[in-house]
Amino acid sequence: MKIRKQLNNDGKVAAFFLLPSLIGFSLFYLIPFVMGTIYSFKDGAVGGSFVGLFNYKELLASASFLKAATNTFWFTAINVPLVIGISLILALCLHQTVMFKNAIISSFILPIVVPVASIVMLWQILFDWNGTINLWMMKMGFSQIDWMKSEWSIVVVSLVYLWKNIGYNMIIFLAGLQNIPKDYYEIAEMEGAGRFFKFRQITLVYLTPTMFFVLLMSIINSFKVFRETYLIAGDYPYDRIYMIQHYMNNMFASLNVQKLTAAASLMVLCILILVFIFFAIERRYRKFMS
Amino acid sequence: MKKILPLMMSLIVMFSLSACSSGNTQTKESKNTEQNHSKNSTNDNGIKQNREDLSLKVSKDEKKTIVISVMGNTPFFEMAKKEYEKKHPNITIQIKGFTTKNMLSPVLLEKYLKTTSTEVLSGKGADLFVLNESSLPVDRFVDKKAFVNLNHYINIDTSFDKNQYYMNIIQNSQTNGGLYVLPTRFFLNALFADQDAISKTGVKIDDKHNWTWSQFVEVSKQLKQKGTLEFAMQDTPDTILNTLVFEDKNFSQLVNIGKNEAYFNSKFFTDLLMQVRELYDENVLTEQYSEDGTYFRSSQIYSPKDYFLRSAVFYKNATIYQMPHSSDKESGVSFVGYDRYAMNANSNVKMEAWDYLKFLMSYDMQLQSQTGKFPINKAANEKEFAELKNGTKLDNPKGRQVTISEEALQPLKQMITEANTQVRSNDKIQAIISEESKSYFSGQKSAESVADIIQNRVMTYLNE
Repeated sequence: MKIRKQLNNDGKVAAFFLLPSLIGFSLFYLIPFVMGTIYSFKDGAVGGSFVGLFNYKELLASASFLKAATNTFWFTAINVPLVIGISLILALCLHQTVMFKNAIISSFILPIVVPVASIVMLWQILFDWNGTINLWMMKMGFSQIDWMKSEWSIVVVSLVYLWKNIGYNMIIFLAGLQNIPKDYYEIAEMEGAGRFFKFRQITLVYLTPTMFFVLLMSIINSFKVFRETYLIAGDYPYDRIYMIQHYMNNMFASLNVQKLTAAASLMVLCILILVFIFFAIERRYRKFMS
Repeated sequence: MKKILPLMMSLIVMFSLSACSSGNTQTKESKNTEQNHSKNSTNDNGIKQNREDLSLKVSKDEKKTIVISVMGNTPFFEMAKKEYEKKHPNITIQIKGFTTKNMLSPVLLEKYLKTTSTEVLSGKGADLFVLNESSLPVDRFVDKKAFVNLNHYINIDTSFDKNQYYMNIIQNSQTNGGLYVLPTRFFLNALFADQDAISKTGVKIDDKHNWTWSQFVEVSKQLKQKGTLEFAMQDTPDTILNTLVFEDKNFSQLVNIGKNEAYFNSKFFTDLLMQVRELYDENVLTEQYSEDGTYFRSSQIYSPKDYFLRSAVFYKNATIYQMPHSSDKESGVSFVGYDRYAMNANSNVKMEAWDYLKFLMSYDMQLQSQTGKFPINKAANEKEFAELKNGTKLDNPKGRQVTISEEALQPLKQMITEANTQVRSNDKIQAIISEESKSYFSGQKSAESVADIIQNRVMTYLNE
């Protein structure tokens, strides 16, 4: 009885301590988002009347929006597995005793620390039509490639994304790897398990929670790649790297809040569905583990 | 502890509620203004108009504040503010300058755009906006009904005497059938020409009929062929390309606004690109400045004095021609509005703001020009002309002294009254064309690849 009371009290105390962040969250995220969603059903930001799904119809009729959505989807679908795979391999390599381990790790973290503006400068110098890479290509006898204004642009942006996010993911994976008890491997070894079997049945399984976190962060960061793209190529880049945030940004610039909020609501809906699917998968895994 | 928790919770609820309710009140207000708008439009079309003296409607005792948003604050704005506050002690004018610098960095400009758009979108923001060439995307603001159609005030206000102002400038500053942006000053764009050199070639130039950019290119070619001067004019190829693209007959072949389609990857456009490049290859036009070596100089004219100096600096015997037009139906002199004002549709002090605009256009204020652009007020402009008396000598930076003659001022006076073509503001498509075509003109990329990139980017823009 007493314990239950204590627990109840704890809950209240917890709620009290959570309050500031709750207020902040609702003030800066929840309330604006809800209002934004309401706007997406109206025909004017200030004093519009309800128009139902009209804005969404308009939105889906816009070829640029569809292009932006497809670009963002494929960018995420290809790069998130890629970044997870590469950072996992790197983490596995660095999990053993390696020479200059710390130096290597810190060099991978460096991209997170470097400010975006200076990165953008560097990428511009590298990938401009008259940039460094084209100069090298010319010297080696190839013809110039218009990196930022051809199909190659998406590769360049992917590179920026990978470069920026691998280090962070790798650190998380390293921490996750360190949490797996050594005994499991020892037992498996005694049982005569091979390397691949150990990796699949122990490492991957016990990394699931970490993997889940890294996956979510990578997806979110894949949306954030817009910032670098925008700084490199401006508000109307080559259409291959025209992301959904470009669309929203341009809609804001042209005061078209309806399409902007409709696009944002659709995007949130998609992310929510994705997250729920991941949660469901994770729950199944958890059950399987315990 | 237990008491605090519900208190906090209720606070949160209150927060969210108040946020909602304030939104509602705004809604009502703007509905009112919308209704006003619809009334306005019937007024514009209707025959009966209740004309009245709007200056009487300006509040005399109630404290009011007019907020003016400017990108860069100047001493003139401050001076005008002080003068007006002296006359109307109950009205305060608050100038929200975004920067004190004259030039804005792109980052600051973007910040300015963002804050202003956010304010306007939320139904707030300054009462008056001072706009310059690149400040706000005016068309989009007009589309969203964020600005007041000032024609309404001009038509009903008896204290606004149309004869006092250059109505040709005001009327031709309209967009979408309404006057949303009111220029309080203006300057002209024109071509100065070397009359001696042109008469030697025998080429006839008619800037009154069919004077399009294509025509200008033809004339330039002829001059180059028959004359001895090295070039016809100095300008950048992307500017010339843009003037040609935006010429009506060409534009309709390149962009279909209704269908949201562009045809920049067509042979038509690559031909256009090549034509422009040819002009430079054949030395008809030049990108580099050439001393005395060009028949034309495209230039802006800011004031009568400026006109004299420019004619003298450019040529020994200069004549002035209209800027070429973007359509063969157009004729007239092109001008650019300056210190342009737009009124926020959600302003609560519209009467006062309108009164302030009239104050800015008044004779006294218009004479206080520090920017040296033509005043929109006729009397003030005529005074500036009158001040340049016959025989006054101006120092010419080039050495020869300039003597002012009444006769030489005539063409300029005529141009001001004929000014009727507003120079198109910098459009997104224009910016894309300029940016991409440069690499073709500098010989870096082929016409086809440049055309493809332009097509690609313009399509994204059109389909948003």
